[in-house]
Amino acid sequence: MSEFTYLYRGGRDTPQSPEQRQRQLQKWAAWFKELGANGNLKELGHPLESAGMVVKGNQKIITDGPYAEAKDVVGGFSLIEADDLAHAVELSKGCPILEVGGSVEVRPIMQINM
Amino acid sequence: MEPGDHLFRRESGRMIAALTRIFGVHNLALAEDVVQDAFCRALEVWRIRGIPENPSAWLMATAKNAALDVLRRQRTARAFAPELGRFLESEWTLAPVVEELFSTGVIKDDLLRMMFSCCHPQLQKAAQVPLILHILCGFSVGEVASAFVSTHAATEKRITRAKKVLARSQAVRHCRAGRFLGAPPSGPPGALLAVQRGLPRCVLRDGRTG
Repeated sequence: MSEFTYLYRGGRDTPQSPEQRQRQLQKWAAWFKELGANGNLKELGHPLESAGMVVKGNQKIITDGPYAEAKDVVGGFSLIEADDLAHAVELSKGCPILEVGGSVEVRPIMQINM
Repeated sequence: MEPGDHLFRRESGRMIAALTRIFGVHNLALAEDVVQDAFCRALEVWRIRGIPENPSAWLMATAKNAALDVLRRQRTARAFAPELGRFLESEWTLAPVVEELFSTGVIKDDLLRMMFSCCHPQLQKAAQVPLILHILCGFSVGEVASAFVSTHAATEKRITRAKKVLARSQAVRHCRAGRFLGAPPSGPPGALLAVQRGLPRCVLRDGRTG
């Protein structure tokens, strides 16, 4: 088993009725439940605020940001355990964010043997 | 959360009612924006962290804080509920007044008040029940349309027109001045009958099974 990070992007600004929101939420709960039941969920992770600060360069210049397009902003992350990258990608296909115009970025966590 | 739980639907009406009480019915669009923001935030947090123990309280607290933000930022730019004006202007009274307006008992009254506002005689009769279903019962335009066997476009037009009337009507100020029974006698009673006749059917059918 290897570890992966799911980075959730976008899928925020779609206008939704209360009913659609409710369904979205239930789908997320069901998805995480399934990942957990199969031993693929290492950690739920955290949602992230969309606004923050960016510190850059030797001069340590501080700017507001990240001012990326709404669809590119990372809205949260989770830690996943899967056999390999292909497996982790397969598991990510169940993520409800894909139904509302968002995306999941699957990144292997570097394994370093010290 | 159980699949049968209509949290967002239930809370949207309560939140709109509390917020329009504070902002005034003429600022309904602002109240709707605040509710949408609170829902967006809830979805962003809950989808990953799971639903908190008391989601209603979580939503209400979020809406309350957003209301305080709006009131502080736009205090001079906008006219809010006139009878609350004095209290909303001073930082000393602002927080306690808003706190009080978000308490459970008061919100129940606000819901009724808002229902009367939605039945104001200046609003088209055919728009009143759809407006209540949409604003106070959390039904989407599509759901209201199908309950009235109407098209999405026609229902949307009807609701939008009614909201515009609420946003600019002088007469509606009866309602937001706290005298929600003060509207002309020919209006609300008849309209309320329509509500009594119209509401249960839709709410019971779609509210339970939808």
